Amino acid sequence: MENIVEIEDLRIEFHLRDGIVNAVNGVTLAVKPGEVLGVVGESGSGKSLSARAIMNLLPRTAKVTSGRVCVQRKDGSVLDVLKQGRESRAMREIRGGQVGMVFQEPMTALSPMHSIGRQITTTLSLHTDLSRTAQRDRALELLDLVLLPDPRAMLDKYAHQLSGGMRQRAMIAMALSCNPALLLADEPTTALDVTTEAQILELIRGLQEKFRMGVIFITHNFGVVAELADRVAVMRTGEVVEEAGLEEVFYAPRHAYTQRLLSLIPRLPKAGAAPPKPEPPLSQEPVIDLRGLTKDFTVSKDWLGRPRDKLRAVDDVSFQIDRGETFGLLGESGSGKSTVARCILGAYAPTEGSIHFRDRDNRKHVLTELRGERLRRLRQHFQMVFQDPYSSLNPRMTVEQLIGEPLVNQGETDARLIRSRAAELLEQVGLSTAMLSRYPHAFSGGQRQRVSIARALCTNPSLVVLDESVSALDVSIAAQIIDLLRDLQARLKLTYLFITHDLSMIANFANRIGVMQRGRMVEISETQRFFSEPRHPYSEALLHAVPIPDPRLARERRRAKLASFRHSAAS
Amino acid sequence: MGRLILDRILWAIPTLIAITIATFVIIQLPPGDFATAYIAELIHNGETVDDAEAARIRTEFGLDRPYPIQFFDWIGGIVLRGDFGISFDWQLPVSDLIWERLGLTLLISTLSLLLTWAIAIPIGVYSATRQYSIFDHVFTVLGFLGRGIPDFLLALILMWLGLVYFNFHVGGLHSPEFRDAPWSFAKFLDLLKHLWVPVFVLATGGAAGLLRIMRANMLEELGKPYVETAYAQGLPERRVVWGYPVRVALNPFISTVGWALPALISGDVITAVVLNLPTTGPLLLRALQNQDMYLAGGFILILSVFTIIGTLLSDILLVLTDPRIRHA
Repeated sequence: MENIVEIEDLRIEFHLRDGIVNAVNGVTLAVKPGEVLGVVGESGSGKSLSARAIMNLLPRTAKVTSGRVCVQRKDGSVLDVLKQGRESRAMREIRGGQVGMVFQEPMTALSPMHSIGRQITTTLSLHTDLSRTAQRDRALELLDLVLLPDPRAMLDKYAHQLSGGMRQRAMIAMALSCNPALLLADEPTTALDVTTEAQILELIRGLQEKFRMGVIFITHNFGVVAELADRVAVMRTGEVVEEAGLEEVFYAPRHAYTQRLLSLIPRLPKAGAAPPKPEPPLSQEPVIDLRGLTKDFTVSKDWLGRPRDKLRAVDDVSFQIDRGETFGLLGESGSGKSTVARCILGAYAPTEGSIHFRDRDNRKHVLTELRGERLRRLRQHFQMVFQDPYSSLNPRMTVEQLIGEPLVNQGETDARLIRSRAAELLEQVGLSTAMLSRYPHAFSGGQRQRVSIARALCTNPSLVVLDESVSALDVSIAAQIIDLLRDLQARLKLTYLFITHDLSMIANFANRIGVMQRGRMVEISETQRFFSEPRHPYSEALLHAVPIPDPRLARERRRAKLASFRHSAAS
Repeated sequence: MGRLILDRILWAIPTLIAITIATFVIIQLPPGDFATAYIAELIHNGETVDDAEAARIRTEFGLDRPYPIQFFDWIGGIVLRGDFGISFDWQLPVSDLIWERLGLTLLISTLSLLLTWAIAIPIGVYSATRQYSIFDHVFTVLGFLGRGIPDFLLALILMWLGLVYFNFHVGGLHSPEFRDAPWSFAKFLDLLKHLWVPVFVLATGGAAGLLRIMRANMLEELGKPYVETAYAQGLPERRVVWGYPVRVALNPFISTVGWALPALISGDVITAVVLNLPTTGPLLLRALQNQDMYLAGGFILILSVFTIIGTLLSDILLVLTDPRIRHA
């Protein structure tokens, strides 16, 4: 067998109470040594399950009904893993020995109870005869290989002491510890910030080239595939709809689904070219006006309860949002963007600075000077749509109760009125009024997000904060939700504060973009200007870090980066 | 880490002071005092007690002095001389009464706690790793039965079975011939013969509840990505389960192990009464009923001290077992 792994006509079923679900439906895939196969698909396409079949680590409720998954072992022999017992010795030798795996969640994929060094040496002890000191040396070498700072100290650190990017590096070190011939990477950069994502992709590419490893890279992000893959398989509902070389898939996609997915990707404007101009705001008068907003959090207190260490989450931030405008607030995790939103919504009291608000009747209010009932009544003008549609809706309330709750909170008691308002809103967000009495679990992620939007619109707000509101959705769903938000904005004269870490989400949506870094606003620009001439170095870094869903451009950019690196190294 | 522990120990001091005051106030709360109860008993026995006699009794017990003086007298004795006062009811030093029973109480309770864990943890882990298997269902049914049957009822059933079928008396901790005998090997064997009944009764009740908690904790942990990572490293199932999720799932147990200490003393009074055990529970109950001030106070104080020590132990154990707390 010339391939390291061959999946042939794999079929996996789940027997559920209300019927059989064909999760994987005749998948055939193969990876050669030193080849990177990108597997792209939306949630539920069966991409993760197919990868887990290689490890024979399917959920216990999954039934494999047909197919073979052959893995080449270290001695060159070939093993059909599906014929092996889940707990068999042969299987355990393949896991971690011949096939390494990296998962999506760097926060939870490492053991919270074992040090990083211990987790690596455990893998080594399972697959090698190294002595304890040799294991430790090898662990050091691996931590150095994945470019973690101070590997010696890293050995004794625990997962919770590391940042997301560092954990993912440690995870990669663990996966590579026994020189696997195949690396399974399941959305390894999805939970990371763009700049961190770029670094991790670069690391995986470098290590893959260095060790001539085969890689199966599972992702929903075409941009990531373009940066890394040699070949691409596009999956939908348990089937591979198209498999071809990287450039072929991007520049001459054959299957309609691939074409549709590619057309839906939010693209960054090319350097120099202006993005399509969003609708101009309705007026130049600011709905919200932040002046010198600062928020400190107390990290620790002394024995009298006085703050000892303070963390400045937001540092002297000022900006305005005009009526009908979409303001994109861009920043990585910990930049303070959500804290700004929470100050506006009144969830946090700012340490310093003031927030001015102008309601629909043009009356001015200074939010930071109001207290109690008056502040509570003003809250109806501000609403929020959260990131995770699964945890932001109370599972024990019907859609009618969920949407009507803000009205109830404002003192409304007429049940008929609440019901008709909920029905009206449900139609506005493109759902049927027949769904009023259903509970959230009956809805898909996209539908839930529509319910969240309807709930946010209930009190006829002036400003809606969209906190990563489409980040958790598949691209095709995200595009629909963005369209809906645009449509609602025009109809209801809404003002949006769109918080995101993902530049491509707001490229064609926001009128202006503000960039936050470590609590400070480093740049505010018109969207077009931001892309053509970013002024702050950090904005530029963000722009460069976004994976481009265009293999040729991605390669050019890599070359340019390498050249500039060599240039700077030479001079 | 040392700092954390020192911090906790320092906090224990003001907590203790607050508890002694609260204890004293609680004892004084019900109307009347021991003298009232004592006089009522005298009258009940046909004696006549006039006001002068009543005042004399009150003075004799020191109950006529202002509360703050009574309080400082009480607490001063404990701190300076280890003297917990005299039990009005028993006319014996409180410390003798308590310490005499504390040893056996600790023995029974510790053994039953260990047995509880030995039953609950493996079954909970098994039930979670083989969810909805036949044995999971069996253990679930047994668990709910164990939860549902009161401990004292189980004790009664055991006593009845022992008496009817084995001609074996299970009440108390010693056979009558050893009750007042000095400690010997024979007496120790006799103790063991009696000990298993209360230990078994107490442990099964506790284990039934605990195994449900362990199962739920484990189910939550087993679904986490780090478990999959451990499998993907090539670890066998036994090492994955016991080395990774069990360690995390045990945290809630460790953080409440401290509460076992006070529960050891005050808990399971009904079972102890039914089984006629010479433990502290029934003694405390009687002291409270009779307003036997110094005995009840001494008990509550010791309970509180055990609670504080237990919580401190839990904290230290957590620091030792969980790196997330050690390196917070």
